Amino acid sequence: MPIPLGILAAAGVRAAGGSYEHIQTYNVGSSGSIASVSFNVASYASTYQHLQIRAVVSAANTAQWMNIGFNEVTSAGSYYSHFIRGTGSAVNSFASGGEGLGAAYMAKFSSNPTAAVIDILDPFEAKNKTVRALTGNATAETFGGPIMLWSGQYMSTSSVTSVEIYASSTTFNAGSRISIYGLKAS
Amino acid sequence: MPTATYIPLQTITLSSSASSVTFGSIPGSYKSLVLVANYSHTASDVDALVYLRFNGDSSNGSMVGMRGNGSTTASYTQANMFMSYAGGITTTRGNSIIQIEDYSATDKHKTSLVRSDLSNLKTEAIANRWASTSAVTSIALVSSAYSFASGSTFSLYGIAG
Amino acid sequence: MTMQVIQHIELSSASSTIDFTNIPQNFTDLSVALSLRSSSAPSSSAINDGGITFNGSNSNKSGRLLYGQGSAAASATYTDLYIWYPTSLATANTFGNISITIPNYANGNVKSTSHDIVTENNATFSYTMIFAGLWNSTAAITSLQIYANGTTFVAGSSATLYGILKGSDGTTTVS
Repeated sequence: MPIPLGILAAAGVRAAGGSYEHIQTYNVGSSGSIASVSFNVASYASTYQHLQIRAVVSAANTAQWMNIGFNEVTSAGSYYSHFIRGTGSAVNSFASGGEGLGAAYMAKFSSNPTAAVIDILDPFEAKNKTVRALTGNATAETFGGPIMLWSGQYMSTSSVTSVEIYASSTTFNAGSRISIYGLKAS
Repeated sequence: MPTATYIPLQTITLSSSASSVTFGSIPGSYKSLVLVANYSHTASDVDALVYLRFNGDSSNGSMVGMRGNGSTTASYTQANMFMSYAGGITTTRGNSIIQIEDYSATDKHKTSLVRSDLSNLKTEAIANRWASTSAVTSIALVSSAYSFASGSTFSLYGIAG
Repeated sequence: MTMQVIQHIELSSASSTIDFTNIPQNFTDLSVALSLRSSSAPSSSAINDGGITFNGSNSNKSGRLLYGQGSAAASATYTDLYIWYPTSLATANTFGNISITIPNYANGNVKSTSHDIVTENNATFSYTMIFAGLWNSTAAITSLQIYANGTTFVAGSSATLYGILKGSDGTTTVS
């Protein structure tokens, strides 16, 4: 039987099936008004090495931001975040600690849909959880997030059992979609 | 049950130079599209750029970008969508990676995120918006000056969700 | 299926390098996910640098950087393929998060790399960075080394190498 394209019977190359897998998608329904989404990932600790979240969202209050949290921990002292952004007229960089709903200012809502690709490496390992995200909505504004590279950390070495995505001080609109994926390491 | 998700759709490798590349008949069955371009141009021009167009539409686009050119930073807006904007085009190799979320949705405008790197000119990130609720069925990359060189590759992937 | 893990390395003890060798040549692109921290702070900073080497060659590398450090943004030019990571002076147990994409790693063109890098720290000072790299060699990449400058990566640092295979679905057209 011919070996399928992309597969080698050599050490270090895994069989067909792929290392990037969809876990769950949350679609905000017609009623909207959802303030947070939580993904339970406790059962995936032995399956995946890394997690990725892809989202396209809008919110009732376009002046607010999207945050990320872990294990339903909302204490301000458990998170810190940083970003570099382009506002449409300037590039600037900020840091934010202790926002109380997770690592803050990950993505800004606007009248345009906000897209985010969020990478969480080694969430099930005994290290603090560092998150990297590329987010943006193409809405030029001085205090917004038209295009951002963002980082945040959850300062706990506990294994991640849940990931929360918050619409801070607002709610996600109908049509918002947040998906979580797992990346294998073997 | 988790399923394999990252699906290759189409790749083009230019056997001769071309001023544009178009992916058409894109199936609407995925949640996201990822387009990876590894390319050079037939000449260098620090003022040239590469447009990103959905469904052949050269209107209804806008973007905000930021770049570093190795000495200064800049952020900018335009009334078009781009795969590469600030810092021009080059005869050496560059990368652009475009992420398009909910590309087939008919209830929202389309936001795409781009990372665009030309090591001898700039590193850049862009957020584009296509102000249309139509599903994206084609993607065109249009070079504004000088063509994509032979050997340039453009690969499109679908991500299920 | 398109995206396949090639190898995952997690350090069980400190090491100045993480090495992928005998990289299979049947994929189209490589993607590397790095979670790194160093055991010391050679520059007395919470952040230190390192780099990427292909095929053992430490020449013909260059790049441009855009970065934020928590309070200001700037850009710089380099003659190496750089990465950055938290040191022993950063918040305890905090590792950086890096993604590196290398399209067409096995073809006969020069190799361009795209790095997205964040370090993190329980303080204002931390890096968020994008980097455009070039290895000006037409050789196919058969090995990849991640190295720390003047220090070692701590145990628990990890690197995951993925291969991504292009394809044709028979439906999507090109012109």
